[in-house]
Amino acid sequence: MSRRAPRDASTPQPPRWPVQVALLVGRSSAGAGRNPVLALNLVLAVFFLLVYDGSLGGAKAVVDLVGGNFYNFILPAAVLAAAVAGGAAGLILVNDIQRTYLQRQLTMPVHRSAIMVSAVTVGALQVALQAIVVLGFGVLLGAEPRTGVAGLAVVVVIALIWGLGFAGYSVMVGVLTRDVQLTSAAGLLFVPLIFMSPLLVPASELKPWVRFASSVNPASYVVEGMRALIIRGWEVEPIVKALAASIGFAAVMLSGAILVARWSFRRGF
Amino acid sequence: MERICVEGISKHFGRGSKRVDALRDVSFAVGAGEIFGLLGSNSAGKSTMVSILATLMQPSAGSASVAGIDVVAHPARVRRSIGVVLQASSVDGSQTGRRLLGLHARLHGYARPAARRRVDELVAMLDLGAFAERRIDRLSGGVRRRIDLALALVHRPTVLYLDEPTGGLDPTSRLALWDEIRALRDEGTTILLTTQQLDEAERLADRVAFLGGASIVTQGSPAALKRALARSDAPSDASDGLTLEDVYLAVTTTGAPP
Repeated sequence: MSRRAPRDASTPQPPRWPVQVALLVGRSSAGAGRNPVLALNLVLAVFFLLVYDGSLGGAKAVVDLVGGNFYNFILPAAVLAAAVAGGAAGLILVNDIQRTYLQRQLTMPVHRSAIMVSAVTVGALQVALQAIVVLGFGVLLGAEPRTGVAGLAVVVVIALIWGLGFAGYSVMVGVLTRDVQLTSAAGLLFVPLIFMSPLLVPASELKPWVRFASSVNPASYVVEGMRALIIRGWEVEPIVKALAASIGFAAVMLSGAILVARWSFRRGF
Repeated sequence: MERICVEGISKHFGRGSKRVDALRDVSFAVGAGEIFGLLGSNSAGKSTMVSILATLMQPSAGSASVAGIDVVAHPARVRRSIGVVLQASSVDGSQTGRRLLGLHARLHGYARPAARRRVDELVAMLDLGAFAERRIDRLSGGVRRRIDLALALVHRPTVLYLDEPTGGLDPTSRLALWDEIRALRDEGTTILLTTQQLDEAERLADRVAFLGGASIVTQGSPAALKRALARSDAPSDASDGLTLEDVYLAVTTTGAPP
């Protein structure tokens, strides 16, 4: 083996918290970018867009019911389907736990919260990125957002906040189960949540029990807010409700993730 | 001055009838530039001890300090002084060795150019040149172990924990790693080595401790322990034919110091 360089007298100081988060986000993003599940998720979201339009967009009664452009109506559903990408956060942590790389990080002068925040950030950014791609496809296919690029930017912001919540949820599941398959499958629990909303038809057309479930479902308000931006314009109430619902969802899920992570750090990995 | 000071550490898991004692009233000290071998069978508590000293776990009782800093009261400060090679290879296999080393250098506080220089030093020092640009999960176990060691050395720690570092390595990689460990000791690094391979401990460690039944049964230099086994009043060459394996067998059979 070749010889070593002389030891430096100066010991470096660990970087500040935001720099730690940025460095860890860079590492996790590089790994997540190679995850085929995320690409598949994006393909599925675009596929749903095409299939919903192919099956329902041709029915005149349905198109009249939703205001004339089915792509406008269905686009928020595809964006919400893409939000499953937030599950990347939990998968990053589970993979790191399984290869004991998380334990190594915990022996370094890296703040515990920086590790969690970086994973959640990567998950949320992936949701935002997937939302942008899905919205782009939607516009290419024929969607005509009433609020233009600015309105679509707000849709992405709502998706990003919703994605933070989904990332927090996946962190909870990932840290508790420490199992890749369970963490991957955890997103399925959100399928009923998404479908018990005015996803495919306006809320007024839902059966009473689904309408009730929809009224207490935060995903409904997210869909309605995005739909208002795309179909009707700058309507304050649904937009504020969508932001409030996504912030509330993110707050609950991230609080749960923090509690579970703190408990796990105390217990040891 | 002692770089690692462990006083009366106990660690138990579970409660009531399910309580398991992993460590019971363990004490030892390791000086600067010393290799201290912590030996024992599977589940003897070696890795638990490393986890406590690496701030991954808190003791149930007792105290420990590393570089003069209490591991429970100031874990973040302790982490700046230690480098850890865990029992299992702890790397992000999706990265290249150079990229991961660079990330760790930055996380330890090196500015980008200094981090690059430090990575170059480590790549040269551990003969990683041919592998540094390849994804880690496509490398052999021996090379991965060297990357593990490089990651632990990025910030020039004064205290290094090596938890069974040569497990699964071929003889050539093992000997090369031994050379590196000795060179680090000669530079003044304090090394806590846990291993089940007694020949490894005999060749590397200045002093060893045997863990048995969650407690330290005996500790001392390999030569002193062998002399004790051969009865300390006998001439020094009486212990020449003995090995640490004989000491281990005596300790595990009787559960008492030789």
